[in-house]
Amino acid sequence: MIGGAWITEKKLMVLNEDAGSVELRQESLEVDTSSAINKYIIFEGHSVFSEIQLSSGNDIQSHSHAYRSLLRAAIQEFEDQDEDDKKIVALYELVWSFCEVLFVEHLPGGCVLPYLLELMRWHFPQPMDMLSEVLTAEEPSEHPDFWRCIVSLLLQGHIKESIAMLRVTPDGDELVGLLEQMPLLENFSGHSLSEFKISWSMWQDRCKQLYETANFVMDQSTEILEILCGQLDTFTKYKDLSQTWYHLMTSYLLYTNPTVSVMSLHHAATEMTSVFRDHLTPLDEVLLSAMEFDAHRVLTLCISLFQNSWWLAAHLADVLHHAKQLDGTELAAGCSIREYVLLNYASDLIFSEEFWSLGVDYFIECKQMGKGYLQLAIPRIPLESERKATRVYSACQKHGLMDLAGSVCKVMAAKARQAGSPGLSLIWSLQAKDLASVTAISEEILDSYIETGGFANLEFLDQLGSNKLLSNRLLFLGKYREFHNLVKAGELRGAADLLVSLVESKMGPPRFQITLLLDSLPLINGGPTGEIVMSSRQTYVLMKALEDMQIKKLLKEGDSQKVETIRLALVTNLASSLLEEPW
Amino acid sequence: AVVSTQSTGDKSKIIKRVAWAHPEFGQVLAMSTPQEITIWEFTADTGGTWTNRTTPSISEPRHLEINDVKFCPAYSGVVKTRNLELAYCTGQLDSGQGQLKILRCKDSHLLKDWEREKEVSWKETFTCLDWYVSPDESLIAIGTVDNSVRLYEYDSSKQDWSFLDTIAHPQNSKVYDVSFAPNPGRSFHTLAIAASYLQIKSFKIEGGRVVVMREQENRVCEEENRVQVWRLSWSCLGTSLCTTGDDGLLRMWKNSTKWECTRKVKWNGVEP
Repeated sequence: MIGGAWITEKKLMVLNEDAGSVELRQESLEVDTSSAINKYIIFEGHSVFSEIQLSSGNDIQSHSHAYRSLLRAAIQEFEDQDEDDKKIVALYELVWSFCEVLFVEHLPGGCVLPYLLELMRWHFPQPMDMLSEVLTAEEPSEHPDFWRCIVSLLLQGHIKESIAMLRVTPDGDELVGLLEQMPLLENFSGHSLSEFKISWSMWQDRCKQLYETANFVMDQSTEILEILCGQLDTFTKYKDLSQTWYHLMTSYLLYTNPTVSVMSLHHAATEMTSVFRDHLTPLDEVLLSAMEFDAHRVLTLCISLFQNSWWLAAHLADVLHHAKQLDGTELAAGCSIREYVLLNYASDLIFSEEFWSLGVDYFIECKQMGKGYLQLAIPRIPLESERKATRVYSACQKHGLMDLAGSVCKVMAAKARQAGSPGLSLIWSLQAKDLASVTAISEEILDSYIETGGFANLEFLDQLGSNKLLSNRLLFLGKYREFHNLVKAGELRGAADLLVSLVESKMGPPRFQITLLLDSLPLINGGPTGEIVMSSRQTYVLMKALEDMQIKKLLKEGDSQKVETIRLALVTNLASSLLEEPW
Repeated sequence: AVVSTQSTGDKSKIIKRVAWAHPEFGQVLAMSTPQEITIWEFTADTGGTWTNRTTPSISEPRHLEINDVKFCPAYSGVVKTRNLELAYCTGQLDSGQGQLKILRCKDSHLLKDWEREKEVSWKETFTCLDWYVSPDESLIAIGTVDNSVRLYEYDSSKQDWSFLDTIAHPQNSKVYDVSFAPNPGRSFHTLAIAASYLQIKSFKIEGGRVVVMREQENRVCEEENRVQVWRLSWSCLGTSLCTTGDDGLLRMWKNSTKWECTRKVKWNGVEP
């Protein structure tokens, strides 16, 4: 027989019963987010997210850059970390970059190529690595990778470096001549786009003319020229240097249509994907959907691509929302897609020891169902320590979840009570403004005094201040303790005054009156110094109280001895005090 | 921590159901055997012990069996009433009688006195129950032996419970377990029903009747749903459901366009 019960949203306790013996085991659906790189992006991501909400999504472009920076920083800083985690973060950065340039970035002239080139150079550092390797060889031009290196540099638009390498080749002069004249967008600021296009067309015409007439010594030189002329076959031949279709696409565009706009990217992409394989991977689908400006689909695909991790979907959805790329349609789940992914991300965080407070912040930003989920989640956050409980309490207060804040206090109060710490229980009950509990616990403390004859640990009462006024019983407890302190300090008159006022006020539980009366015994008949401490009026008060108790039958059977002792002492004190007092 | 050990071999003493009270009352547990319910409290001093607070226990006559017991839950972290409430249901297959009883504890610190607040009878055995509580409404869903789930509602103006409506008619089957999904503020209820197969029903209450809705979204993937379901458990936020089935497997379910089984667990951890 098998059974299960949930611990958190992703952890389950599985129980197996077999022939009378029962075993328990935890089953977890959680993805391990304990690696340093994950913690980094979770915390940093939260900072950027909070900033965006505070600035109401203004200047969303720079916030998107901030996300990219943190992802890049994570990949660089945690170099020696878990490989799998790093790969995923690199994938986040790639998807993010494409989405940024397509949905968020303001591109001068709409030209997307400079952005893509930078992206490819960052993700594929192999050309520069190859360059260092070749240059450090004794005879670079003899190095087996020499020509491949030049091609890979050209594919990433590293023109200067390619020129330097080509100079030492036999056909170098002509090729270098062309390359030196190649118009580059980064050098063309201050001129209009159409001027650039004209220059560039003229340049490529010259390349094609050279191709017709050239008579190169080396075949590789011809291939270089084919690249400059934008011949697809040569690009395809060197696809292994590109490694991916989007790199190939970027390289090809550099030599066919460098002013390509964001809008035409999808068309260029679909040609390239088939070069590498005959089917599309999930990642391919994400990038292509982005190029079609289908933000909704991008997010849906990200959810399934990054199976158990909602980091990317959540932060990306938020940015897309603020960039006004999502239309806010309601899903079957009953909320917008932005809220859907944020809720899922927050659900992962809320039950984690390290990130629960971040989870609260994300839930709060889900205006439709966030508070509802918090109401369900917060009671399930384990409150293992006073400190944690205080933090959860503060978080609830900060966000106006007063009922939940009160609930946290009540849970802690119950815990303390069951752990045998009535004082602590009292403090939490006061914080919860739970009068019924405050009164009940005060009475329990008083009852235990009757039983054990002593108080344990009531120093906290001194710090309660005006809180004591919340409950009569608590006030009584405080004053009763004050009475004991006065007796201990030898201030017997003050103690007597207080005691009598307590008896008169009937503030304490009815069954406690007898204890108060017993407490008067040391103060009667002159006490230890023989001095009369209690006046006749005060003695009358106590005698009346004793009589009241007998009339109302508040006394127990075993108390008759006590009653006699008290009565005798009071009568004696009355006589002595009357003798002393002036008429 | 061991609560109590009884190995008398007496069938009437088998522990059938266990329910936790809300932590605002501390660690309090209700245990039910076919004939009686006992309430236990955990005290952490002296190493920690569980003490039976209900002496005498809440009990039923021999011809009735206690089938399920549940404490009144919190609504969204807020315990609805200061007092503890407990509901349990009884039934007897042969005689066909069923009863729902709701008890209230007068002193939640002592846990001793449980007074009967409401008693409802029906002609069929009640097999299982679950509460749903919110500031606006209180409901109890009860599974029966005659293939249906009966819904009872609390009327705060009359301060009384009454029968509302019947929902769901699983074919030819006894209902073994019912469970309301945690509600993060949706305008409808969702109830999971364990019977000869898993059923999920979302509904609203309109004009004193139950109106079932979202039937498309609540379809359950058929392939994995051919097994008798014994017990249900919703995750804290209600995004996943776990069921235990007659084939000895634990299944986890999630809803995207319909309810799909995302994972199966066998005891030794090997996924079949």
